[in-house]
Amino acid sequence: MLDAVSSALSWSFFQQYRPLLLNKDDNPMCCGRFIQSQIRSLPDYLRPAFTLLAWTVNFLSLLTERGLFCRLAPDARARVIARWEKLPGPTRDFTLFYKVLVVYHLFSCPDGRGSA
Amino acid sequence: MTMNPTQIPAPSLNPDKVNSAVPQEREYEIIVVGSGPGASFAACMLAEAGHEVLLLEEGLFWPFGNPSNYSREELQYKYRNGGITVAFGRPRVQYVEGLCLGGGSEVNSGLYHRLPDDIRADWFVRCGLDDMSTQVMNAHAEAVEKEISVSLFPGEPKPPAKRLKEAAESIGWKAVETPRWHSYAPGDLKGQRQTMTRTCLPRSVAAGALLVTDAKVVFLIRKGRIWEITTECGRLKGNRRTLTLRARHIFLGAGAVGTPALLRRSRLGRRAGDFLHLHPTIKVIAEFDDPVNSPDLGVPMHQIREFGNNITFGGSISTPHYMTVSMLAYPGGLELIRDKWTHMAAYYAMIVPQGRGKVRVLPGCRDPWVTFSLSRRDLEWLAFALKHLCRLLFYAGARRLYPTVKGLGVLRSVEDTERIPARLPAGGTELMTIHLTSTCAMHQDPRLGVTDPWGKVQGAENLRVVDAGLLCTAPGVNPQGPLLALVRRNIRHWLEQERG
Repeated sequence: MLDAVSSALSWSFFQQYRPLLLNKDDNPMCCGRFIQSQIRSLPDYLRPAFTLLAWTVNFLSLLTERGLFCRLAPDARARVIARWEKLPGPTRDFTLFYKVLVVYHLFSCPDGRGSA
Repeated sequence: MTMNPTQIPAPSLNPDKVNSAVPQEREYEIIVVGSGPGASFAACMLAEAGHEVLLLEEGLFWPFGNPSNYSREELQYKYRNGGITVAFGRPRVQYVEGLCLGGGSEVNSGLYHRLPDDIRADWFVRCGLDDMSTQVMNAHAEAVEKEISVSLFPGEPKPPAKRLKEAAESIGWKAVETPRWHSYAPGDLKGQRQTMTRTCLPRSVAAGALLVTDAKVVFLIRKGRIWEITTECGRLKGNRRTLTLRARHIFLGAGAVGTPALLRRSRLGRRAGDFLHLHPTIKVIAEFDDPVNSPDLGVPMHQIREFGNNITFGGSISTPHYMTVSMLAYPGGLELIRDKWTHMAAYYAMIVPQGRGKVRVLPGCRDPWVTFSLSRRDLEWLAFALKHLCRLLFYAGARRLYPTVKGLGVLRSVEDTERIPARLPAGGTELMTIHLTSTCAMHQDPRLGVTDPWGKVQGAENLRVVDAGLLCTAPGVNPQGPLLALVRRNIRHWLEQERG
């Protein structure tokens, strides 16, 4: 569950932020591997909390979009993420965590320096 | 992408040999746990004095520059928990620790300070540390500086540092260049950072020490006159096995979080982890009209020390990907980094707080749980520091400033700094630190410290601490210099005792 939600969130943010870069050839698989590696490195006491949040995020989408988050179409996922980002609480921090990692990854690629 | 830890050969240590060494399940005279600056320095002194030394490091040996400095891969492979480590509290303080042979010396910028004299005097009086006069500590510092080549940058300061320095001097503030653990050949402005894998560790090996990587010590128990050390080997290399090693003496240098966690797990050092101190640091991204940043910028070396040891301003890592983390909260912030990152640089304000934290071990968890509580005064000092840093940056020619405080918005002029509240909000301030200390503080009173005035764990024979946990309080400067001077003092004392 955590892997599926992580992957869906990473892909959504990757699609959202990749257009910022001038060279858009960055490999999404590379981004995905980086994020999986960071998730695996998390302190072990955070893992249950992350798994619980992944469940919450996945199933809350049933209420609003009538589908599990990891199975939603890209535009539906974007709507869900936009909603979470406005809400206070752990789900916002959870999505922010992925957003930070994706943006960090994109800007750390050689082409991530934009016009440089 | 999987990095190969043996891609670039180190000048002295052989990565293949170091990463494939396996300890034997037998009795050693001395086991040093960890390989950060304190542990490596101790191992070198002990091995060169003729003692048998086995050094156990939890991470792997990644020769310096592989992965490249401040890169994404460095974060993944050379930092503990991929750099995702937090001291919980309100606000949270994000911290990072090296997890590789050489520890923090391999990933930090190598800034060096001596122990400030007022801090030394405070420790001498309040904690009852003997043999710590100014002359004695200066002699230790001089010896350390010689051994690890502490030097000033031989060229002109880089633009972000130059601007900070000139602005400070224009208003009569004290700006100082901080020396680094660097050696420079004549005419060479790049220099070579003097990490532990280039200094103390090759010397330790030359003196007969055995280095073992991918070996995490998980438990200590005393049996008669011998320590039994339960060690997990091969976890990172995928062939995990548990060994029981034995030693007459143990020197713990697993870091200010790792050492108290090990002590608590082993039910040693009654107050281990109770006195965590750190330097809370807040960042500001500054945007200038002219270019100030470049791919080889590194960390600016000038610091503003107008407010003594209590508040310090300086320049920080300013690669685009590091700056994105601070700029995410600003609409259009990422586009700005994409288009104008060469005109932007990161700065920090760092304080010595009143607050304290704790390191704890949770049942069933490998990773220690760290907490830190900032006092109201700490949040006021951070606000004061942020306001003065922002004013200074406007004097330095910054056009816009982006502080990491939620809701504050972009600052466009000196007048805008009045919007910074008198106390930073606990709920919306992003803080970080790279200096964690005092979790095994030295003190003559066992109720107020974990180790005695010579670094021996109270109530445990032949068990000593040699990392930043030893420091009685956060020193207000990078703790590595003060730590090495203390380790030299303590190890010399131990060697004299051993010689009888």
